Amino acid sequence: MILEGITFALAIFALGLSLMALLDTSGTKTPKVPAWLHGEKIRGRIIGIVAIVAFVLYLMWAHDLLRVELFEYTARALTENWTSLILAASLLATPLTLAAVGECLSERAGLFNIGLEGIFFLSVVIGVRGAENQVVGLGAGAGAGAVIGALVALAVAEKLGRFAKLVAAFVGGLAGGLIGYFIMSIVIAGLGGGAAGLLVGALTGALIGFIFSVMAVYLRANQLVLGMGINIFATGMLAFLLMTIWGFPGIHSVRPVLHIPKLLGYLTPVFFVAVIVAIVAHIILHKTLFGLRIRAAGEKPEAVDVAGVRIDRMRVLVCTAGAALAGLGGAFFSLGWFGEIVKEMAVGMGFIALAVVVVAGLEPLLALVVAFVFGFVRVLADWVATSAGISSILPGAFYLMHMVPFIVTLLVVTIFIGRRPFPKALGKPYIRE
Amino acid sequence: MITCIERNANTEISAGEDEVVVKLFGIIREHLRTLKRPLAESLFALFIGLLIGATLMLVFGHNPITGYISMLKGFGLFIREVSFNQTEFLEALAYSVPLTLTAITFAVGMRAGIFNIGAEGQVYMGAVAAAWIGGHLVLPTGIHVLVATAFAMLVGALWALLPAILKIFAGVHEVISSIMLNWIAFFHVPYLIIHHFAGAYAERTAAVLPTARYPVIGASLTAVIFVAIAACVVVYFLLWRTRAGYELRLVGDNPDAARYAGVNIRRAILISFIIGGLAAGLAGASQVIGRPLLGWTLPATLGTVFGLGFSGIGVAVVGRNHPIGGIFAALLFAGMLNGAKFMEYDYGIPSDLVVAIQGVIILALAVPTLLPMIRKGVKKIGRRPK
Repeated sequence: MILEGITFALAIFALGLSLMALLDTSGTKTPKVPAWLHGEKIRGRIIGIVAIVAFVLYLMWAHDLLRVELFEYTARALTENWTSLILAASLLATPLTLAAVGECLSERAGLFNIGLEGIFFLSVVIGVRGAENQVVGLGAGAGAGAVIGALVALAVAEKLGRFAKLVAAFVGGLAGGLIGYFIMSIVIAGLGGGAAGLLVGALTGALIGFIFSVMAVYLRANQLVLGMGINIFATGMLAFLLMTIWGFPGIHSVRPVLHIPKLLGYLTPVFFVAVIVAIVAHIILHKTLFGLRIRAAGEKPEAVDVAGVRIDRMRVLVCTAGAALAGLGGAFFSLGWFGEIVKEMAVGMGFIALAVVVVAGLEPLLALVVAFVFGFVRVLADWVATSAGISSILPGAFYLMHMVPFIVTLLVVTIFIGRRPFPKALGKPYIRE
Repeated sequence: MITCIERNANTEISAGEDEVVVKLFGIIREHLRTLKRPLAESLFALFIGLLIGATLMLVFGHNPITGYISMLKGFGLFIREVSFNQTEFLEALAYSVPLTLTAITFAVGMRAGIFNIGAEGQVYMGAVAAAWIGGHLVLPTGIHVLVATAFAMLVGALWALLPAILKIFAGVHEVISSIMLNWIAFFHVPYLIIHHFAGAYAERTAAVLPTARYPVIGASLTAVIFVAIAACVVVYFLLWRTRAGYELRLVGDNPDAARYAGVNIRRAILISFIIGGLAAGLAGASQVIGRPLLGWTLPATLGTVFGLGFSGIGVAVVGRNHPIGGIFAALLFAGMLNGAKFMEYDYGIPSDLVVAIQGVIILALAVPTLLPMIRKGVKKIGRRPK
């Protein structure tokens, strides 16, 4: 009772503050809010935080969580069997880290891709298809190799004539295709179908990222609309492909042979790949000239352009690589984690990855940590839902814990918005003058 | 729009208000002139979407022509039987109602320069609010519907308030905050349904009382469509015929000019969020008290409202961020969605293909220079290399 009373008082106080702040926007010259609320940015941040706190209190109240038992159970949860929970968290942390690190790089270079969810959806299905069907896997490898080879050849032959370019592209494409085919067949023979599936998933992501970045850079498309378009397209394609390929709506189990092996029941090799990727991305971003150029392309593209770097190519390259990482994460859902495809499997995960990026402030290493924390919260939520005592007395805890990543993101953005801003040219096409 | 013209035509006959009609036709003519390019672009994007859909059908061994003929049944057009099926047309209209409204949310945001994708969460909140008032409160016949609708709109607007506050005061980007609020609503509403508002079935809200239901017109279409159209017209007048609306659009077009002109940018942004929230809340209500789905209930899986907000983005993009354009775009999307079941039934083409086609349409329309680019391309092809 007392607890509830206090929270209600706080909530009403917060609501009042927000309302007063709103009155201040009504355009009159004389401020209607108290003077102490009038310090430039601090005031805005305080208002934002207060509004979020009021909102969270409302959520807790609506979920029947304003009770003493909450603290008791929190204490109990903290003394639980940690090792298994942490190991389980590594499963979700893997795709989140991969996608978030890729997105960090892409946003640093100035491309804001909110289609991560769509990349997850598509690579979930196509990755499994690549694992089950060698022809698809080999074809994807050869195709990707051919495209990369042709593009590299074109870039090299930039100064030559039209015919020479054509020949270069053809030869490069042929060579690249052969190399891609060769690499893929080695992967299939050496590591098995599961690894090939992961690779195909990454290629799927790369393809989407390539299309996205070409449309955003060369056609100057609205990146946010593009991202939403990718999400909607992938939502449809996921169900369409599930039905047309396997003829069964909503679910498909993958043969156990193709599963990625798990150490200790939870740890997969892909998790270590994700950790390495995060570290490598950090080194590239902060210790190399290329990383400096990426960061500059997001902050001040004119300067990079004057220095003689092709902004367009760099943005496409970085965004494609980032999307490939997200695609690898997507294929991990079906091949490394669940061992099946369920239509709703990755729903919301792409957006949690975006939340990770925001909370990490575009730092790859921080993204690894944040992804792990969010993964842990999710695991804890499932633990809460299955432990009998808590789920019967505090049924709202499960739902609230699922919201934690999103609430944390709101708070972090509001608190740190001034200190760690997004790149200035984020989301804007670069137009040469 | 159509009903609006008809109503005006009727009043003209009875009262002889020539001026109103002349003015109205002036507005229409003015619009038709500026409409040519957006219309061409939308149609071209539709063409690209259908083309890619046809390719997908071919790749997976279906006949695209018969497939699309089946899809037209969703609009009530039975080509093979050479007949017009009124029930299916009404069903398409019923599908279009929430899409029209969520399109307003996105469109008004875009007009104010805000990328407001929070409609999804606001729809959930509006739906559960309408279900609560409709199923748990006992009120007289006419008032009950009104109260439920108004409360749903209010809750939708309240859910939009937090992103607005964060945007205005703390400068938090609205994409981030509205995505987060969408997913918070996604986990919030099921709890409310299961543990607070459940009726006879544990996983659904209690059925809405008959007093809170909109009267059914035919198929699953109810009178809520008139409310939706009225909302579109009101938003149109608000944006293009009032000072606040002008300021809102100015902020979207050129924030610097707006600042120098003394426009209160914060207020314009706040207004755009609130209009969006009201519209999305109404969209949520339209799926619970305005459509006989699952016996006038809202399921805890959110199956009847999931994705409406995101589809609304596509509708707004095709409708060129205009509330009236949104009505036609929504009808297009709704007819396609409704026709998808015939594609599946007749030829076994999975209905979700239509969603993918809609995604392609949005991708195509994200390119701002779509039409000039095509023209240039055609010219280039036509011109002989020197």
